[in-house]
Amino acid sequence: MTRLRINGATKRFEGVDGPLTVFEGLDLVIGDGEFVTVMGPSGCGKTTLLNAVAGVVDLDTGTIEFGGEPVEPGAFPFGYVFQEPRLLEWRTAGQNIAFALEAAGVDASEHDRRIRTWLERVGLADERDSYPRQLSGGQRQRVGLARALAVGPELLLMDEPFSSLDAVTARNARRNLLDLWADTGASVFFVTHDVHEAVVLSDRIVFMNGDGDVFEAVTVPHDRPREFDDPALRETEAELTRTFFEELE
Amino acid sequence: MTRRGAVAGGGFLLLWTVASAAAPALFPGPLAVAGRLPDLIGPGPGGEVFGHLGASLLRVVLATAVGLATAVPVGVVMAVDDRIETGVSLWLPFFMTVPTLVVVLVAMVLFGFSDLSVVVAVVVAATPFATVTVYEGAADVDPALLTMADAFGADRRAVLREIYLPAILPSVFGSARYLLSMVWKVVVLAETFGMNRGMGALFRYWFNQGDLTALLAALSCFVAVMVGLQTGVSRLEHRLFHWRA
Repeated sequence: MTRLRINGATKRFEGVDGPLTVFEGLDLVIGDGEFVTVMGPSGCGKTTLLNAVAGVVDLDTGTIEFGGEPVEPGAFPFGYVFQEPRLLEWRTAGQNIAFALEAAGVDASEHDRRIRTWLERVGLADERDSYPRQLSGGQRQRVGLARALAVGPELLLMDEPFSSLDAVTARNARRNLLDLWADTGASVFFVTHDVHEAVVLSDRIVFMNGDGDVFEAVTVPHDRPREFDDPALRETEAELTRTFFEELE
Repeated sequence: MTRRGAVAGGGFLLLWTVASAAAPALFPGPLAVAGRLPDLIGPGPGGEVFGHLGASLLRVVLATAVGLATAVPVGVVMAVDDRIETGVSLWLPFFMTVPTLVVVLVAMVLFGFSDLSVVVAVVVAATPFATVTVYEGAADVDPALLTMADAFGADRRAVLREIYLPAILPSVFGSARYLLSMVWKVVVLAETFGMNRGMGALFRYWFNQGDLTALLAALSCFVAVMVGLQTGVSRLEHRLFHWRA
């Protein structure tokens, strides 16, 4: 079954030298429980596409279907993990999650249980009353992940969430994400420019070039669970890196 | 009082003692000044220091409240609407460069020696600076947080309460501290010019008597209350912004 379908999405911005097309007539499908990554160079429109799905940015043309039904962008259960944690610094980890729960219209009687559950699931059970400044970069990003999962999403939007973390922290965060994804059954729309990350995480990878066009879509031919250092994965990674850079050159 | 405050106070007293020992005729020492306190506390002209302090304090609190009540909405509206920002910014440098002394004199001429002239003088002299502080705080709201709130579906009230208000609060406190310190000066200046009650009136009395020791004693009372007030605001600020630690 299809969870998300984007049909003919076009987005233009007003540039200094006239309108600037970010992407035009873009189609994308994400299945139920599927982990799809959009890869592309910086500035190709990946984040704009995520924001359009979330309803934060308006599309010029195009439609979105969710669960087979046409919907307004953002008018379906989704969670968003941003490139930076985007936490309210004056609120504790628990209160940051409560903010999203309240915004998403989750009943107040549910808040405590969800906050406890999701902080525990991201390994931050003891940090509920900590302020963001008291947490490390990796911990802050995990609060952001807990916040996105706590609202009960059927689709998780993730915008290069691990790009600012050090290699070890990012690796652990990816493993944690895969465990949580397997348990929740949510579909994931992931964005990155890191081929290794795309290969270890995704079911399918969609490649965009600098003009915002999709030039390749591949199914990652590896069973789960995956060993991040598996030579077969590394080989796929090398192959896709070649494909990616040949198109960009 | 904190340890740092005690050390600073002790250091100041020591410097004062050394300076007065070097030129005793020109500069009365702390003990001589403290010896005049009973004259200030007692009744009669040049006395009733607490009454004068109370009168000044009331004017300071009133003027600060009016200043903040003007600066906060104007600063926020400037941050939200570019046209208003352009319009107000045009006038701010004018008000910011007029000497305070002139503002006080004009207010006294227009409104006489009254509380109204003090409040008007303060609003004209100090509010532009406070407005700029609030505007800068409000303009500094992180757009990434607004996108986050939008993505999770937060309504306007939640965004104001959870994002705008906490973002503005530090600059509101900054403005309050600035206003307090500025307002004291304007109030005393206005009182010195021609009011019968208030610390400025007391300063004028002892100045006319040529009694520098009593003048310094009155000034010490004034400074003690001012430092106390600033400390109170700082403590409240510290408590409200503990998340920054």
